[in-house]
Amino acid sequence: MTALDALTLSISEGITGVVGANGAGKSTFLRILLGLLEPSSGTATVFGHDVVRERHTIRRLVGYMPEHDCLPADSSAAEFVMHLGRLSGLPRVAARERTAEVLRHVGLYEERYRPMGTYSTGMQQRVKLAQALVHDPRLLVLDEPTNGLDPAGRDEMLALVRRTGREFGISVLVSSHLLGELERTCSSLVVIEQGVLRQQLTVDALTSEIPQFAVEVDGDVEAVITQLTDGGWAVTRERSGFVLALPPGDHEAAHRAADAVRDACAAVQAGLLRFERGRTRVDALFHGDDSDEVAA
Amino acid sequence: MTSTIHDLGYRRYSGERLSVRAAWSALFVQGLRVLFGLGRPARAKALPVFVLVFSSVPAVLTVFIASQAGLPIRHATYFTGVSILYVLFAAAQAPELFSRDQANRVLPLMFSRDLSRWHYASARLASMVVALIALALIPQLVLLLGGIGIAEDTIAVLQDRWKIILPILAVTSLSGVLLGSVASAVASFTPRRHFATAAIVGLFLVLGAVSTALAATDVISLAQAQLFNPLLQLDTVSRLLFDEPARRVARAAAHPLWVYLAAITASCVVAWSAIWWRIQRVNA
Repeated sequence: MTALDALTLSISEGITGVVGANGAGKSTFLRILLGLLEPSSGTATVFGHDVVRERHTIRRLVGYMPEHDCLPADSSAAEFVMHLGRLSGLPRVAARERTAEVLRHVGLYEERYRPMGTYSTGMQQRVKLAQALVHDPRLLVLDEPTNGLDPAGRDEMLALVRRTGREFGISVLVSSHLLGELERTCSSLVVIEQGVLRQQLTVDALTSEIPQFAVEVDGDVEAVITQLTDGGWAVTRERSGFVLALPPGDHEAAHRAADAVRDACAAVQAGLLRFERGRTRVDALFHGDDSDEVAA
Repeated sequence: MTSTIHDLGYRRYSGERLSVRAAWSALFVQGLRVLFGLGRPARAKALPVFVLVFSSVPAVLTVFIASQAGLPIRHATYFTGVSILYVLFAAAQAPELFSRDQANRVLPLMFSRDLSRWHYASARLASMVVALIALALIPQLVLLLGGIGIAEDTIAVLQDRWKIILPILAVTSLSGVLLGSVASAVASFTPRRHFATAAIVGLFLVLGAVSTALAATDVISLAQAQLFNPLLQLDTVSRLLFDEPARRVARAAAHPLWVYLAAITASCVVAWSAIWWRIQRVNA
């Protein structure tokens, strides 16, 4: 079975997202980089080291968080992370200190002495991240770190990934089948579809703010829109609200538009439910029907 | 740094990084702790303690009885008598290493570190073997030291008994390596611990049954038939090495020692090959 077919790409420092549907070959790709799988043909290098011939060098530089459960239920997080720290070559005392440190970093405190079988999914994902960090790797490979988490848990995990990648100078390779959650976390994205590289792009250029506000109101939407169009604003009705486009090149327009929306809502006694700056959404790039929005 | 507390936590590590050998030792020691239930709930200690008590306490009694009745202390008989407990320990505990690691799916975490499949397999096997040797060694040392302690003429006994140290080491090592390797090989093939335990016990029972069945036929001799039973291999080797007079009826005429050593070596090589074959392929 071919999971990856002639995938050619190079990834630079920073946080890189690997996106693809389930079964697209994301895990296979990550496991080849870790030397857990040998490619049947082709080569891959990490920090310039060949993943097959120099896997020992690479393994000292990477930390891996697998997608699947890997936590012994009767072991405590402290014990488990320390054990893996020692298997990474840390001396006993250093392993204990690093364990305390990474568990605090991921937000586990007293719980770390409890058996991991009693942990919530969110806590388990944090321990999995902590064990990947315990030996202070240069590259973190995270396979679906948000799997099984509720929306709040996802946000926390992604914030943790961002902080690890940006503030601690560790490069991160993070996979997900949800494009949306990676676009705000990563500096570049790789899209794999059925083992083939679909697209590789830098997120910065694409998810920058675009000149529009997305608004939802509780009350008479039409009346609010009428107020705004009377005020000279370009408004487009959408399914659950409307989008207000800002005139290009006018830096003050955003403030005036915000005031206008507020006044319009106040005038018709409507409650403001959502008011946010529009962003290009990366998923729009992969679906032709939204391409107008991207062009903005 | 911002106000959230976990931002204070992360520092880079610039300290010492040890070699793979240190990682191997850490895995080996952790394996021993798992096997004896150290640092784990009382439930995990039950079987190791049971085996330790029932294989060693009789040694103390033996010494006591020998001191009262003036009977000789028989190391070979003692070893044979308790060796089934070592099978029990191996069957119950080898899956705690090999099967549990697979069930918990921790192998990718190890193999993505600088610890190869070879390191993993050898460290786990070494823990198992060393634990079994230690278990078998304890009562033998009790017998040896007890025998010296109760003697009236300590010097004379010392001069006589020191010769037994080598057989003690040989028999306990052979039993540890053989039982540990066979049990590890079976356990490495399944992530299900209870299944592995049943399979290990089953294997020893089947081999015993085959041996008995073959002995009942006229095709091969009794001594040849006994070669199929690992426990009888060890039993015979211990009798030959300790060279003690059998207490009860004379048993089947034995082959020369090297035949048993060859049989044990062959069993171990098969077991090691099986472990290596499996660990190379097991999904990580």
